Amino acid sequence: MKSARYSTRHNSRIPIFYWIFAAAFLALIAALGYRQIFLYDFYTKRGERQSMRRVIEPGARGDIYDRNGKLLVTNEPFFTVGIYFNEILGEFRKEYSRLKKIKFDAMRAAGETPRFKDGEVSEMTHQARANVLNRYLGMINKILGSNYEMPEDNYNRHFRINPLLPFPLIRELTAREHAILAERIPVNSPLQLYTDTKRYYPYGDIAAHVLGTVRNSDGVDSEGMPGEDLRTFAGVGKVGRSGIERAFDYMLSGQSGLKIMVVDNEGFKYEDIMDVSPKKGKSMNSSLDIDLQQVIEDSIGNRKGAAAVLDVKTGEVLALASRPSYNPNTVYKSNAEYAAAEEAGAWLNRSTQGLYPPGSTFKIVTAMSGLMTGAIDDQTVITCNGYYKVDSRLFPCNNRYGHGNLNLEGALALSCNVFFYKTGLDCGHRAIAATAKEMGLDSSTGIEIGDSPYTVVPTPEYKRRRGRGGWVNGDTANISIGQGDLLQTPLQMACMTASFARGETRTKASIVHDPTRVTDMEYHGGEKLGLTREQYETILKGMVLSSTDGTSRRARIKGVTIAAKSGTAQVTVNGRPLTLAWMVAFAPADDPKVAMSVMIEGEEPGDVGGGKTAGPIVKAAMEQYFRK
Amino acid sequence: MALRKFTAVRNIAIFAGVLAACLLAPAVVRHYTGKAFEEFRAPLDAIPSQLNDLEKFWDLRMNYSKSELIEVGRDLARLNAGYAIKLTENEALKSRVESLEKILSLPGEEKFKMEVARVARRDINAWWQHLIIRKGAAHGIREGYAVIYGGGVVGRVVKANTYTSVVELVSSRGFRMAAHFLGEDRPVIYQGAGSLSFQDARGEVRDVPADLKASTLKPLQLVTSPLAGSFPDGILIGDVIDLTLEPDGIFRSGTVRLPRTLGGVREVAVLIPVSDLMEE
Repeated sequence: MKSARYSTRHNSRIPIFYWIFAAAFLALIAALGYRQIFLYDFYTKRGERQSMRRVIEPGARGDIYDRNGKLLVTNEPFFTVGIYFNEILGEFRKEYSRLKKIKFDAMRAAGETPRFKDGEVSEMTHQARANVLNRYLGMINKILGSNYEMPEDNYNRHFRINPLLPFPLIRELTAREHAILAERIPVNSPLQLYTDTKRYYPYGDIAAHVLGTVRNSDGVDSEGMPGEDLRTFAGVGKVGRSGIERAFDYMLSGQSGLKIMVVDNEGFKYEDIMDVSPKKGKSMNSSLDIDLQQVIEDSIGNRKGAAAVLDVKTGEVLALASRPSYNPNTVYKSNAEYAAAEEAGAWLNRSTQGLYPPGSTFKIVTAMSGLMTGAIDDQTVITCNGYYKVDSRLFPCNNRYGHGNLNLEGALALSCNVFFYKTGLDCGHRAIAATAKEMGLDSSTGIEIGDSPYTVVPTPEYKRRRGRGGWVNGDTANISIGQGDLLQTPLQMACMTASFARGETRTKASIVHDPTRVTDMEYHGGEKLGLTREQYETILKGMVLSSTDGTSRRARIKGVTIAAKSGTAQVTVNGRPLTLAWMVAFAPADDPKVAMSVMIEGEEPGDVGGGKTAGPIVKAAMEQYFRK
Repeated sequence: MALRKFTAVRNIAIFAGVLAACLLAPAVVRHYTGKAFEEFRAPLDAIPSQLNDLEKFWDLRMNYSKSELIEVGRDLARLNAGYAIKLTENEALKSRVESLEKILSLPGEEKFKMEVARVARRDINAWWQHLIIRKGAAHGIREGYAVIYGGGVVGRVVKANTYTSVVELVSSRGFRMAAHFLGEDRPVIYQGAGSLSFQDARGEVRDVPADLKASTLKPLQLVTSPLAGSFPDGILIGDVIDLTLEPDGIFRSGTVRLPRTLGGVREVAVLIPVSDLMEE
């Protein structure tokens, strides 16, 4: 009875709740209206950002071929398991808090005030990241039964630069590992399997310096691409690091593709709303003849050296060898292999960057200079007694017993130093330097992959600049035989030889095979040699004689007349006197098609010589060239 | 009045206490409580299936005459007798293979034992692609085991209760496995792609070498790969009728048509690795 009375009695407090609920509903309706009307754009964009993803895929790089269409560089796929940092940020934070608690508890227990010292925050952040990543790696190792270790401490850099891209934990998985992980890793895990491509060099260490290598790019060019405000995932592209890969990066690089997709609440793709496929970069036809390149590199073998072979008419580089070399497929993967390459000095492209005194191969320039200045002619005979006295110093010949009476042809064939000391001194160092410069020995060959800008044709000014005093006759005698301060690259000497073979002063080297290229004198940028027909023939005969009966006879081959000049230069490396074996050659002598230079570095004093060391390499290269 | 108030406060306190216990209980306690609940609830999945069997039994009893049932029973007995002979033949062949393997010191071919199970429930829609089967851990089934049927791959066990197991279907978006095409040994990756309304279940295949092509006239059969060790070689996954070249120019990808019978599968076989049986 009491309760019935209680339930029917008017309670004056109830309307207060009505009003409270009414006010609350009004506030809700007002807030809803505000969001629907005034914040429409804001939420639309936010919705797009949450439900749409932009993926930028770098285009595959183009392939590189040799002049006969043989594949020299291509892309090879491999599988990687990586982890998305943005998916494990919470775990990083949790681990950081755990480490911080342990540290602070320990400090408190030791009676210290719990606080970080300088640098400790960053150290602990790195440690937290390492711990989390190691946990995931441990999980993979458990699945695979393997023992992979964390990649070196580059995850912090990756975290800073590419937080949206997967961080590769294990690269180049085997087919079995890939299959197991594909089945065992949940599809929506922060760990993801993805395909990447690497550059593949089918010929290994052959032509490695010319072809070059690539490195991962820091980002993919997405300028001007739509969807800049969307959450973006971008793949890692490749850029050329050296050689053709670098010089023709603009051509080989693919065009990035773009996908904008709507994803569901689980992050799976629902539908593509924009899909622009990446495009593979253009292929490049290099001027190299890989078979010829291989023959030359095999001939050089384990020695240190370089060689350059040019098409005389076009200046196209048929082979550009530098040994020791490295295998670009493996050298960046193995610390031991990398260290061995470093130790051997394999990074240097000796053919384009190595600077060496050209030795007696330079006598061609001295001979030209002597003939052009009138210091000698084709009838000039000089007596060689095995030495030549310049001022108070005796300059030796390569034959210490002397060559006897020699004309220019004979002096070139036997590489008589005395003949060229006298010729050089008679025509003067300025004339020799002028001829060398006319032949382009002080400027770039124009090759697209770059060559050394530090070649030297010495002059009195140069010597003074180097603080080595004034010019003396001994300097002239030295440069007359390609010694002294003269420094040239093997490619430079090959270009000089090709120019001489055509009767012109310059050869523009190119690594691109272009059958449509017009290669006249204007293209090469030179002019006719300042020699009469007879003068030219005299030098030519001397070079032919050198290959048939002279110092270059080890280069001769059956059926083709070769014009060659050998050289053995002396250098001092780290206080040790060493020798360099040189040879320049072109063939056929009466209708030149191919020109080349070879240089081999000696390892012990006098262990190499132009004829005996470089000659067989020229022979092998010429045989290969004319076999085709 | 005071009593009512006390009762209300007590109820709220109990509720709050249970809630707090749930939230604050150690992870181990929560885990095992959850598992216990699952085990307790699991028969509910199996009971409808068993009732369904019972319903079919009564349906046969009510709608067919005794002579008709006897006739069907005889046919079935004949078939069973035929299968029994085949089984004996298979056993004989198997022992012959084993003895040859012993003589030649070859590793044993048998890597899996089959545990046949009846499907209790199907959860196949745009979100869930699961089957519940009437066998579980008590029958040696563990998570990760492969499940097949007469038409090919069914999926993989994702949860093994004591007497029931949950199988993730091959069409599920979360299902991924290594595969290869029949007559090819280069591995590819298969992943389920769900099923759209009024359409058959499907999957996607990727990392297909660029030189492989497929068409409606010459479809390629995608089969399981033994690489990962969970499936034997050569069990049908589905057909591929179109492969599109990826922009990288190295791989192709395409859609896999899964067998239509997958949606109505009643009996499946769980593949239990022999190595696991030996461990036990």
